[in-house]
Amino acid sequence: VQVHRARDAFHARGAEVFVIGNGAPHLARAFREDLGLEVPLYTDPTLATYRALRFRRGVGATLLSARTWAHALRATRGGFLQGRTQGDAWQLGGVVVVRPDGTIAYRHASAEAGDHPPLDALLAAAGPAPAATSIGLSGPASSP
Amino acid sequence: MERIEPTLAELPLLDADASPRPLRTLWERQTAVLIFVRHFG
Repeated sequence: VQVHRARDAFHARGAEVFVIGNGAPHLARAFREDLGLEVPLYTDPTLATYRALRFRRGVGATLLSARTWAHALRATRGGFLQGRTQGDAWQLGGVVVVRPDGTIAYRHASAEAGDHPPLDALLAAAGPAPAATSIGLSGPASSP
Repeated sequence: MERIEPTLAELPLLDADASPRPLRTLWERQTAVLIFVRHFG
């Protein structure tokens, strides 16, 4: 959600944000509507892309992880309430930044549920920040 | 720098209408920030 809110900053760097889940397509549609997501949304019910990117899966990294519960508590305090799980409950996610030539500029595989990469790192990987608007220091040109 | 493997690039994703598209199409035109979520919920 945080990255979704920063979509304009990614656009300014020439990058697009995509959200990919693993539930059925109709669940993806409901997810988009529930959260009001405007970013492109896709799903991989087979989890083939998750496996290929070596994202973790297992009960130890999800339900049984103390850090998972700490992340959940922090999210709840921040006003984010998780709804019913729609997809593979044991699958963890991650973030990959890929350039048009196929090089991976950034990769983060979640170590437990709620383990997200810092937004600043994603923005840096997306590309250089656009140049600030030039503001003249000498003030408006004076008329003779 | 690490590159996306060709077999991974061709894996299909489904949009909300269940139409498939290869993963590579997400970064063909611009840098892509791919956020893989745990689940929808």
